[in-house]
Amino acid sequence: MDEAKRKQFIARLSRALGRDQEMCPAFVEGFDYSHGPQETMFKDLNQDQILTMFKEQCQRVGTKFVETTPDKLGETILAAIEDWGNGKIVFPSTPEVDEYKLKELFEQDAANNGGTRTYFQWDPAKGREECISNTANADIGITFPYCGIAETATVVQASGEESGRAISLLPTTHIAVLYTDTINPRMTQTMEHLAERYHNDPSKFPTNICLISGPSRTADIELVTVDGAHGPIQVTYVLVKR
Amino acid sequence: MALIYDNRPYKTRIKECLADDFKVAAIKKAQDVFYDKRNTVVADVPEWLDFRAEAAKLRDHVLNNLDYYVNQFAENAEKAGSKVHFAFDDKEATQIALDILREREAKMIVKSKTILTEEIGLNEVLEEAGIEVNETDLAEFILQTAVSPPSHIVVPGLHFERHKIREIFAEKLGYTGTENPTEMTHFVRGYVRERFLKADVGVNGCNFAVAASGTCTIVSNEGNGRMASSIPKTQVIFLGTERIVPDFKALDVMMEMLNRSAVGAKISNYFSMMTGPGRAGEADGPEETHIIIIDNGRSGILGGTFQEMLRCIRCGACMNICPVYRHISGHGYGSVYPGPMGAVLTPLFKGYDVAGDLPYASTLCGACTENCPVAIPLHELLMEHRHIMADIEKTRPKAEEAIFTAAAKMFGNSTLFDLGTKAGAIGMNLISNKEGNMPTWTQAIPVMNGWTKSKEMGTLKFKKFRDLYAEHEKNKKKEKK
Amino acid sequence: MKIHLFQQCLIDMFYPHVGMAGVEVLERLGCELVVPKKQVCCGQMFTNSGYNEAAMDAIKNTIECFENAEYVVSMSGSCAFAIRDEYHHFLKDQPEWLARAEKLSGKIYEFTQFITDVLGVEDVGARFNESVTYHTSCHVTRLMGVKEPPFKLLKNVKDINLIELPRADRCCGFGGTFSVKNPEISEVMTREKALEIAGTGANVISGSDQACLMNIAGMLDRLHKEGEIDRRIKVMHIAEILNCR
Repeated sequence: MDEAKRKQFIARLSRALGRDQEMCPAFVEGFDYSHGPQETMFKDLNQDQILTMFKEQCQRVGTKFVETTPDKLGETILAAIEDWGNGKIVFPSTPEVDEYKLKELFEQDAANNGGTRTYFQWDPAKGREECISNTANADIGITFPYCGIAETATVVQASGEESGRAISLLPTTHIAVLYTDTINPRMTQTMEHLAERYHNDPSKFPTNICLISGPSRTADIELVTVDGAHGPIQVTYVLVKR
Repeated sequence: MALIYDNRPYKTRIKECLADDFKVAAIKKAQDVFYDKRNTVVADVPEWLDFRAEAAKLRDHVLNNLDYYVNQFAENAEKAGSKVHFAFDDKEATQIALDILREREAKMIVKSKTILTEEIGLNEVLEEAGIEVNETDLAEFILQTAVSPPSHIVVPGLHFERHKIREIFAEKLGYTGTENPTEMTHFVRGYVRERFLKADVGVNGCNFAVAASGTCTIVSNEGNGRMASSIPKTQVIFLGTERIVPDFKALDVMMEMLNRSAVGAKISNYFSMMTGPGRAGEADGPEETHIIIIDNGRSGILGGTFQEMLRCIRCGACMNICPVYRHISGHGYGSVYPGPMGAVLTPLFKGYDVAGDLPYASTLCGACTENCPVAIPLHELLMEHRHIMADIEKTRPKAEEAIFTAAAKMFGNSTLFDLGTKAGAIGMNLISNKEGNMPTWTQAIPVMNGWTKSKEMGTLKFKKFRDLYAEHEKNKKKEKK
Repeated sequence: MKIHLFQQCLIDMFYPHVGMAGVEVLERLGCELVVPKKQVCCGQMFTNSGYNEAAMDAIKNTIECFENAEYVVSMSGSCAFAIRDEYHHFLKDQPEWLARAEKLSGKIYEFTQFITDVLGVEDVGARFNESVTYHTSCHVTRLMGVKEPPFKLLKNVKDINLIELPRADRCCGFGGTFSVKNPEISEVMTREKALEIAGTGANVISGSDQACLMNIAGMLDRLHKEGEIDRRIKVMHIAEILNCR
């Protein structure tokens, strides 16, 4: 940052605002959100009702979802893959993959399925080019969003070393595995989490967080809705009740 | 594209737009669709007006402390590893971008949708320097391929029908498919995908920048914003100075207003929050992120009569409801900022001598103000522009000024009014046709023809209301006696 | 109840019978009317074009005519809006006049609003055997916030067949001097409104703002003359309907 330029730039704003001696204040009282309606909306809903709201919104916007439990997660994912016609699958290196022994499951599946499903694990050690090009020609990407939003049927996807941005973006199909107990009623709670997470340790804050609500979509030609403009054409949420 | 992309006289543009039947029908349909969708999702939120008040207050809080928040944003963005640049105007901004690209020997870039780069004319500068620029938003891609300006800020390509798009794709890109929107969209998907994977630099705009964390955000449905910020090794983000929010909590409020207002959806399909470039160890994401913060006239609006205009979050709700925009589309305004928000903003950026007609392209019906999610009193700001032109800068045509001044005298004094209307009644009744209307030949009289060309006009009455009422009063007194 | 009547210059000059209908309705409801002779125009047609300075004569004349009233009733919603909500802005640098304008601001009502909200009357005892649709003018409905009163009153008119006008809240294209400054745009806006009205099948279009009604009437008559609309649709200020017995 060009310090002199920054000073000049900020000074012009201070001058326009009529600041005392054109000085940018060192402290500003923060905005008080406590009067906003967002603080109390959906406050009395229990987790079941929140899940119902999430599923209803999925149905309203046409996003596919399946429900499962931790012990059946592996087979549910395989079924979802099959549902979208199999092909090449990319999965991340996040803790869930170890926890549910998905890598082993996929390896076993690859050995037995006669080539209908092939797998690639996202791993930075393989290098940028290999990760991106394998994901770019994959059919399905699997990710583990860290929370959900019921009102808008949204999954909140953080990216990092273990799970790249491309996995939920480049393949034709995105399968997002979400724990139902992480679903918040509104974006309000998600943003509170993020603020806290940043506050606790900015150096560990995810460089990219994406709120994903269904497939990639456009209506730029005569307002006709088309799925799959640039990103995934189809999405399945796998909802895990633990 | 420059901010003003059509320098022909206002009336010429208007006439051309009104004559384009497809465009008028397309915009009407879009308005009706957006109007219904927006009303449906807003009706879902009984707290909407509270949200709106909160959003306006929040925007004001930021604007009243913009120096502090821009400074805080810049510091935190650098802490997160981004490089922050400041540009006072369009030339500085494009030069900074050009320097970054040249240093990296960039030959080809991909862009997601950003009106700010149209405001500063980025594409022309880069193309002149021999850099291939690829617009990736489907509508922007169509416009770039067709070489046509945007007609809307959210859905800029509505003025092309599918048949025409197929023709353009066939001629310029060798497309051989049908005019089915899905087929054409997926053709573009493949065409642009190749470029996403090969591009040296990705260019993004920024819907809201979070001061507390140095985060830039992109709202998109297509996912091209994610592409441009995930695959190329270098990312350049263009940020308008005023597009700052204090913290993450603010994003909740702003997204509530933006999505429902813009396209009548609860949320966009994607909302990306980017805090710095990818860290070492990440296998994708940019290796370096540059943020260019651009003033380009904004500090001149800050702290003045028009500061409320800087609340604008570019949702397009004002043009989705405007009955004038409905007929003249974005092209009638000739500015990348059309509709009511553009009619307020364009003269502020470019002055009255080039954009002075725009504030008059409104009936002051107030629909824009009512629909604005951050409660900008748009129609009042349009009146303020008119007032400045008429009373302060005195830039209106002398003939108009003379008519208004003389008429104002007459309408401010009952004696003069009486004399004037009596004379008028005699004149109008002398020339009126058998239905009591102004005859066809009055279409030749300037001012008058504005009305009588398309509408019938009655005559001034010899006995005005005041005369009838005086008789009525007299009769009543008689009755009492 | 003693009320001052703001007649609106347009009604005064072109539509005196509308003013008289308003007088008769209000008198029948027991109002004692005062119609200041010196009143002319609220000044809005000048301020809407930016000529705030030139408008001062009209604004101050209006204040002088009505500031001592107990209630002011305006036959036009648009003027009521200007007087109630805009004067203070134009007079912000003239403290004495500002105070007088603010005093007046609290006392002015649009015609239908006055009947329902102040007089507390929803049935004025009118009878009107026609199919009627209603244009909700922008200034009175959207900006002044008078939404329900005209419909409350019309619903209680005997024999009336009230038909909803689609997109009734969309501007008719008048916009004061807009209609002469931008006649090409005004024309297509008003045409759309006129065809919307014709499409309801109603034989009467009503409203509470005579300026919009004049604009709509001009287009309806022209389209009828040219054969684009099959019938003559009558344009009536709501006061005229409420005055039918």
